[in-house]
Amino acid sequence: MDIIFYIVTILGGIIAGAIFYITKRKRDPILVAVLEYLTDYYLDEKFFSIKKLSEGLQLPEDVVEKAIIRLEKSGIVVKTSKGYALSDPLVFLTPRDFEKALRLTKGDNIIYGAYQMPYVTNIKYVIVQLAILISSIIFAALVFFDVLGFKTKVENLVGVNPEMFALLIIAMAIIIVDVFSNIVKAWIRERYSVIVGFHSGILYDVKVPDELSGRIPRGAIARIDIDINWMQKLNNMFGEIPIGDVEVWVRGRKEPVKFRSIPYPRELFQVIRSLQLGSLEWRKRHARELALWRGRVYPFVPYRRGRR
Amino acid sequence: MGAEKEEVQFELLERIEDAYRLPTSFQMTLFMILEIIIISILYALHVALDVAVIVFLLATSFLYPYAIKVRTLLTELAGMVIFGCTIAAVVYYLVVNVEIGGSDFWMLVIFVLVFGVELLHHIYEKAKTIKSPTMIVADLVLTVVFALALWMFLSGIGFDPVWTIILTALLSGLYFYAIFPEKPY
Repeated sequence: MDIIFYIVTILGGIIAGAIFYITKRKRDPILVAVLEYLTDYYLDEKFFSIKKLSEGLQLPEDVVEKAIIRLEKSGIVVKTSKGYALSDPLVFLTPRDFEKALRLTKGDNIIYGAYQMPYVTNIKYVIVQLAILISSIIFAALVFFDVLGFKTKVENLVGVNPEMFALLIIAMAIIIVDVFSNIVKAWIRERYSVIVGFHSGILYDVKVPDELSGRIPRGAIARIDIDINWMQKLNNMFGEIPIGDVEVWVRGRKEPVKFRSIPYPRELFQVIRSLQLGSLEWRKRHARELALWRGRVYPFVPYRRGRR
Repeated sequence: MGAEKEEVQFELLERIEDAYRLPTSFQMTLFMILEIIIISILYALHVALDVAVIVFLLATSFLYPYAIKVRTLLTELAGMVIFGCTIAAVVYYLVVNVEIGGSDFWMLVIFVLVFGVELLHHIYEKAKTIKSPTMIVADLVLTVVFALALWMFLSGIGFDPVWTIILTALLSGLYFYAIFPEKPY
């Protein structure tokens, strides 16, 4: 291979890096100001309007509206039929489900909301995806190394370059795996949700389909525990979203209610624990940081480590 | 209950994910070890340098997002540089080494469209989660190019016109659904 290969490779990296750096969104002071104002004044109030916010911040309405639209896209602010609401930093629900949760809790202050993700560590789910991908790679290997005249057979069968055809098969396998993953996510979503409301306690779906019929009033919570198995631990170390099981013992019941592979289990544990003890002050203190982190509003370069 | 209440006045770390991930130094060490293992295997197998570079880049771009979970400008920039190098190397290698003519070109276009987008999603999380107008327009444009390439490929190999339409519509729809931004939770 000539030197051009290496030049092209390095150039590819430089161009991609330069495009990323140039287009990378820098910290927006207006957005941060809007977010700080919202977390200071609207964390527990339910709805606000752009006009009200504009007056409070003393900024033009169109500027505030622009910022709110961006926050809405990040999932920090939710537009409901009654106006805008600041979604709690630990609410990972779709806007539709958030509104449903508000409706079912009669407008309660939702402090945690997420979907159980049992498929992430489900061996069948993982095997199906791996099987599709590995089959395509085996097919490509058989063609590239011409095992048992496979290359010629494929060439005679499809009448095109067999190597390119093998790559096409890999591409199709990648699409199928991605679509499969998306379908499973869509199927799970809205069917296994867990909501924690300040007054209403814990609400969860018990079957498919359900409308949060499982309920644990805040006074009925006896004990909470987190359980993270080895597959979840591996996922937490190398996967996308940290998950774990959270068990809630209810007074009068022998078996605990188990929320399987719930996102950010440590945070759910702490939310339930603080709900049980009637202390939600930590949310006010950390709402801004959590919202900024979750919305990826700006990169967290300086941050304090450890406990304050 | 007072002391217990006091105890539960817990402090959430600004980056709540950190509590679940491996320490940053360990992430970097692990990544370096994996890279050394890949280089050693390639060296031991006496693979040609250009092929070794491609395999190394493919393996690196695959492993990087799993090993490095810290999200800073530097780590994201490094990810994008790896992505750019990998795509450029793979495309150049295929163009130079594989005899491409007629329908083969369209297969290359399809492969690059799928592999490029999926690798970008793998390396840069935000590209696959944020539903910004730019992302949606980009996905639409890519889908149109994908549909055109598929149409040209299937027509080129003499596929039945009706089946060509059906397959193009179906696979383009799947491609759009696959690359459309999706929240991970």
